[in-house]
Amino acid sequence: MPEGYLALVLHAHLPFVKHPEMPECLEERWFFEALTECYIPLLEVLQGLVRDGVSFQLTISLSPPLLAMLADPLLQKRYLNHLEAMIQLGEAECRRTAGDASLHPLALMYLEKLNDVQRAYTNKYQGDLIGAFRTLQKSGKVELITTCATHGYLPLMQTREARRAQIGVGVEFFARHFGGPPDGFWLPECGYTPGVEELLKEFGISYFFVETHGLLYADPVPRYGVFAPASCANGVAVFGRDPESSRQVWDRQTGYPGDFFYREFYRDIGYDLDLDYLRPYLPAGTIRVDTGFKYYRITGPGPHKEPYRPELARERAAEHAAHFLFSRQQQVLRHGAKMDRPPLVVAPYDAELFGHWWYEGPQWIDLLCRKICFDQDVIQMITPGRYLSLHPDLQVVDLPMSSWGKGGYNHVWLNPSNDWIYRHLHRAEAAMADLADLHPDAAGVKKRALNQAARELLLAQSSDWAFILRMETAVDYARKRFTEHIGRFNLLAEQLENGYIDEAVLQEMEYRDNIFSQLDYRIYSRHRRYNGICVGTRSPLRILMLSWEYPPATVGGLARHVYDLSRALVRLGDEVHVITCPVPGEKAYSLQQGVHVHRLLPEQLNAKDFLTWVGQLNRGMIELAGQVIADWGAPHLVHAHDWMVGAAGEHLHEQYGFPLVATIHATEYGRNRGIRTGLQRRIHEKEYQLTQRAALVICCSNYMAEEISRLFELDREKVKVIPNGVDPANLTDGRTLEPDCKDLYHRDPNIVFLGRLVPEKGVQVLLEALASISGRVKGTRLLVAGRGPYEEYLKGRVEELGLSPKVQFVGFVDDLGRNRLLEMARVAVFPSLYEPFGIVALEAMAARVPVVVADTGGLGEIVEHGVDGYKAPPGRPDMLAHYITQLLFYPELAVEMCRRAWRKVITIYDWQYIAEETHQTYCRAVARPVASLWRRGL
Amino acid sequence: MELPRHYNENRLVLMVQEPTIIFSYWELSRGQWESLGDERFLVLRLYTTGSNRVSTVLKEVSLPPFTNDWYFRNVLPEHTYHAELGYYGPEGEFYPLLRSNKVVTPRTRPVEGMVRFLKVKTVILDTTNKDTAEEQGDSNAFWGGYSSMDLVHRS
Repeated sequence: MPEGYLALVLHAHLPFVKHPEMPECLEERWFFEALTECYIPLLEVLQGLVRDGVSFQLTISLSPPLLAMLADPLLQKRYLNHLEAMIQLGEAECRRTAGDASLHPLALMYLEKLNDVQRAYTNKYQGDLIGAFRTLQKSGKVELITTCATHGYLPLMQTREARRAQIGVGVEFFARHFGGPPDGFWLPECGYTPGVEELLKEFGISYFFVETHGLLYADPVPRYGVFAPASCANGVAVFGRDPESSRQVWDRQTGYPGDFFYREFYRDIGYDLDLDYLRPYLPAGTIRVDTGFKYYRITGPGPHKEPYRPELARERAAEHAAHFLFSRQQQVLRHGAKMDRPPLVVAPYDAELFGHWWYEGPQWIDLLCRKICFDQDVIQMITPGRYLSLHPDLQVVDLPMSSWGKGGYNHVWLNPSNDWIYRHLHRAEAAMADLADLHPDAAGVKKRALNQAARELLLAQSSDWAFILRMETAVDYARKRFTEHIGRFNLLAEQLENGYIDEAVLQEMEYRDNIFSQLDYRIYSRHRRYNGICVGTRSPLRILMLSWEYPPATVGGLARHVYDLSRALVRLGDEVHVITCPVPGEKAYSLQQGVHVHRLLPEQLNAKDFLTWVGQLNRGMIELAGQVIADWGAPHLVHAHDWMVGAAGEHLHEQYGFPLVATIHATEYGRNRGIRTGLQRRIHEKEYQLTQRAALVICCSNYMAEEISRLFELDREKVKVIPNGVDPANLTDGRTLEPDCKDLYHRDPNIVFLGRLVPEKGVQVLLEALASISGRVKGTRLLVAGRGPYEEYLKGRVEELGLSPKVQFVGFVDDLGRNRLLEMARVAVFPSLYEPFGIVALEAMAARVPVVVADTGGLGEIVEHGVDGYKAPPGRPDMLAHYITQLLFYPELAVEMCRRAWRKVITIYDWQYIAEETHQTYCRAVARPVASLWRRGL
Repeated sequence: MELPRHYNENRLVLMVQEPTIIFSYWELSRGQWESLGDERFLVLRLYTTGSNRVSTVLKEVSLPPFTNDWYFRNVLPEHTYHAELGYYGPEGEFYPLLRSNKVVTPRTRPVEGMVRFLKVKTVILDTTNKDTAEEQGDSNAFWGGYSSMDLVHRS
């Protein structure tokens, strides 16, 4: 048993640079140089260790772009050409330096190394370095992990969908190359932002890394600091970077690579020698670049440089390996005394440091591994995955945002040199999610265009562009790449929107940016209809749905909700049995659009007293449920809608042990702004009991979730927000024209209100606003649809305000009447003082009418101010008047908002999406293992 | 290829640059510009939301013409912020045109709290190169009942 462990982690990444359209490309040399100086030397070192029986453990992260380039036949071919040119340069150098006692041996050394690399690449690996990594992984000594699809920097992305795609595409790409998903994940630039762990879990990842302060400032402070992993609340483990080992390697001044005996990176013959001599080996024959022929050692801080002496450098590498080992031993001995498990030092580095910048780096790794294995017993090398299996008890922490960039946060990727990229990236993120939602089953050219759009977005997101833009070098290339990917994305998005795709242009893009050939754009869908290999097959559920009303009987919005939800669940493959009240003319059992509807008998419900009637309802439901279970089998779960059916739900839960899910559509407290009467108290208690017994409670807005968790003393985690949906098809009956935003230009300035006439709907506020609106917009008319106890008062106010000619009370309207009214409206206004959800606003949006709503409750959550409607503070007629006037006055503004609102209705408030969310909630309640990873295989 | 100058969309976005600096960018659609008229000056307001959920104006900037982004400096870590872009009406009323997303600046200090452990699921890679998956049960969480500082002192 060692005193402690060292986890050495190398993260290998280069941006995807491949230009088939050009005969040669300067930036492709980044990859070639890394192959010659880092990846191949590193593989040689690791294979040597395996061959010599050295017991070691190393973790290597291989980024998807790097894997894609390693596997690319064109780049493989070009690399060989590059190597050939460098060998010729080496031969020329040997001739040139002949007779120079200090430089000639170095020229010979480089030439020999280049020949070795060429032999290894062509003969041993046959161009397949990924295969070499695979072999190392199989040896059990190297753990391979990966990172985001294009190394996108997660904290600066705006949507969950964009982050999901970066993570998911990365994991899948890795899996295709290595036969399974990685256990761990490297967050690009160690960039963590709250919520990332949920996505990692979705793709089966068990651990990731954060920068030191990312773990030390976690809540609560980790008991063992960075010397043991912690866990996010969802069980995904997190490792913190050790600062001391990091400094020893990274630090410019004090780090090992700055040793005066090591090779100087900045003295390259590519800059020192005559251009005519170098011409055959330079890109375009004119551009000075690093050739790798570097003959000097660092020597000292000044410009004077002594020739490089490999044998002295090797001695220093051995000393540094010994020093590094000694420091780790001291660390684990110091901290181990205070811990109940052996401390772990996590030392992650960029792989390209080793060999490229720090020429002796691979040697140092070689010597370090050998020393740890043979010279001592205090520490052992380990991989994070293995440490977790030895010590799986982890402290649960809540992590703050962090990264390993300068300053520890987002400064490197967000500053005045690169901040302009985000308005394009964020817009593309949102557009891509919309495209995926709107085209769930695309085929042929359209599918190709969608996949290519996703590819271009991913490529534009690469953290490398933001990073390079901040530097002095290669800025133009980064700008060009970013502009091209965004430009291509925008072009494709526009063509998809217009329904015409230029196939020749698409083909050219596919040829140029051909990374991720298996990419499926649906990973961007908010609806999660994506069926990628990482998402398990959906397991159908049998649901017993309890609702006191179901169409054709509709008193409130409940019937409609249960009706739409049940049908959407059935479309997803679930089996839904609705138990509900009798309706004249409806059979006791019927199959309606795939939904099994079971109705009580009328004689079971004969009580006159309300609460007695409710008792009968619940007893009847329990009885009927027994029959349904006998006939159809036990359900996976019971879903009760509102308190009226609570007793039946609770009974079925207790008697049979079925998990219970409850949807609370509105509360008695909220409806009455308090609990006053005895009846109200009884209802409130029933609501309380139902929510307590339910495994999970669903409600329609964050506002309601707050109210419910407060009123019924529920853990906020237990309350799940799923908005109500709207089916646009229900808003077309009775109209003369199909809804179209452009019609707004031709309509009279009619303002429409729909709703019950009660004080909390706020019509009185709208009346106050009307005087000032009609003063500015000629011909303004307000149409008030609905009835209620407040009607007389409101009519009185109209008289008092002298608005009689401008206001028309149209009384109660059914669906057709509502649709006809909305067809006349230039703007729909919902000035509520209290509103749990506000489905009417969604209906107006679905009918292509711009909305102004009060910023209250769920209503405020539907509208994004200034984007798809306006929000005024509740009870403020002046603000309400202002925004209504703006929409009446500026039709272009109204049409813009109307279009955005429509897009929202068909994406976020789509019933399929809501059904999928509900199904996920059911799975949580049934406590089934969620996505069954990899069961479907590759 | 060139980047579009605008997308004819309405958006106001906040991004955390550092625990004490917030970056903001925006775009207004043609319709919004038209409704704004010529003589109105845009104002950008930064709000902070307290634990009581009440938002208060923290900073207000009269934007120079042709600005489309802004850095708010000297904000505080561990706070929730959002912004509004709008203008003042003739009666001195502030009319927001756009409201941003909310951002939370990260914590920059250690915090004490209740220590809780859970057992994570792991996959053991056997040294004999055979993969043996071992399910170790899902979150058999237990509460330590000590604050983390207590535990640090005790150990």
